[in-house]
Amino acid sequence: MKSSKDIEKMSLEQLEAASMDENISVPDAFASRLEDGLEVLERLTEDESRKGGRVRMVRVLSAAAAAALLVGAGLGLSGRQDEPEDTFTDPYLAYAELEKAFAIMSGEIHKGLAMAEKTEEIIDRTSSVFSE
Amino acid sequence: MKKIILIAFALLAAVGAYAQEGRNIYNKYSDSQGVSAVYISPAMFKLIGKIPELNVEVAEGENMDLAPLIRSFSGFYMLDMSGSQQGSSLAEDVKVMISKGRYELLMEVKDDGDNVNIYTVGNDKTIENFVFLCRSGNDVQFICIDCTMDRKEVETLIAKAAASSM
Repeated sequence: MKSSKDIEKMSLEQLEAASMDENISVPDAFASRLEDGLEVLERLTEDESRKGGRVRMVRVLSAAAAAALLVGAGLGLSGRQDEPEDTFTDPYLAYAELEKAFAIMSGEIHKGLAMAEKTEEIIDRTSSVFSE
Repeated sequence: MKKIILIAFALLAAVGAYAQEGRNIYNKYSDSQGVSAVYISPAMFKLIGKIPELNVEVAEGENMDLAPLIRSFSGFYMLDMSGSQQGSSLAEDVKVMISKGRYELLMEVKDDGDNVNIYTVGNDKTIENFVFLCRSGNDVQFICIDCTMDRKEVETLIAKAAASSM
């Protein structure tokens, strides 16, 4: 049997002639071994390209996360710089002020709803006149 | 890559935009003469949320626990300009803020020269910003609340309060 070095030294013509020679027998299960080898090679190539894709994705995501952190930190810092000072240090006083504000707003909301109620009454009366 | 960074920046900027507008107006007028100003920070709201009894009577014989609502607040700005010449300037600034944002008019009351406007920003489920503007001659009251309030909860509160007033 020829070694791989001997085969490498052969010219194309010699290789062609050898392939046509019917006296040279092909080793058993050579075809299946060859197929298995090609399959393994294919899988390895696929894994490499998948790994490459994952690495790219991780890089993109980490860059986006870093950018978001930087922007967030920047906004946070700029927000803190112009944050007013708390008017109250006592939560009970702060709550009392909130209650006052709610009372003002609720008074105005009631006023609006009372006006809407009056308007509804007028509409009801008008529609009852028309229906009679 | 650039697109992702730009999207991240735009999202963060949008979240902070409403909070910034109310704060800018507060900072502009809070030190002026004849202006009463109140600011309550997110840290203070956390403390208020720990007060054991925050029950208010919303209807006859019916109390409501305001703690969850108050815990959803992250900033409260109030300016009260009674008789101040700057009132119209404040009202103009609020109008500009409203026109720039995604504000929705919740209620408008016009009564004998008094003018009340209530605006909110948010979606179907939550209210992110609440603005109250009341003008009566030179008197102007501005209240701005940054929050993540449950819209249904607020509507229930208003409905109960309205029912009790009629």
